[in-house]
Amino acid sequence: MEDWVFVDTCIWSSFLGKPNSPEKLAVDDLLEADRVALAGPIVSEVLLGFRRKDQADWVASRLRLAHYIEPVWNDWRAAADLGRELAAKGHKLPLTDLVVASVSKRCNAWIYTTDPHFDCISDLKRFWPGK
Amino acid sequence: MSINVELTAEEVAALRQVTKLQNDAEAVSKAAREFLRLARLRELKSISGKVEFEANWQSLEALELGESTFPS
Repeated sequence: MEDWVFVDTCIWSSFLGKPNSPEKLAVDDLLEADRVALAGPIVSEVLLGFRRKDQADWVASRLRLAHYIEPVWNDWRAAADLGRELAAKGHKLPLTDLVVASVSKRCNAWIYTTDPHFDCISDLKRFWPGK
Repeated sequence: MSINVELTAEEVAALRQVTKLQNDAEAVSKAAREFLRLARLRELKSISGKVEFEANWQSLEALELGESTFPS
């Protein structure tokens, strides 16, 4: 699990919509190396971006084959604690981001995201392609 | 479904080692399933730019937080 990389929704967005983007190349490499990991909130956010159900279903059938981590009780608790801690510092984060951060911490996995919300979380293993 | 496959002893031993399974048939089955999983997963690489995808994750998050604009 330590080599796995949780690919966040913003990265999938570039991957799906911008064939020449650096994110597309990076995810290609991660798929090739079988390092892509997902959690439920990411799956839902990605699939919500599709207008056509047939395309959403096809992508879902392929995403299902990546490493999938189910958030457990302690992840939800950790997400709440993290959200409270950040709110006290003036940072309000969506629950989806808090849960993904908590799951990736539990797995000691990397997270690949350009979502600025994650910049508020200090002890994450951020994945930067090429570094 | 049951099938017969021709493999060398070295290949079967290698499959047992890679799959960490002692049983020959189980090792071959696992290897085949893993091959299929990866092949199907990697099909994602070919759809970039060919699907109708709306990058709406920012608006969804902003909606959840009650913000009118996404933080930069």
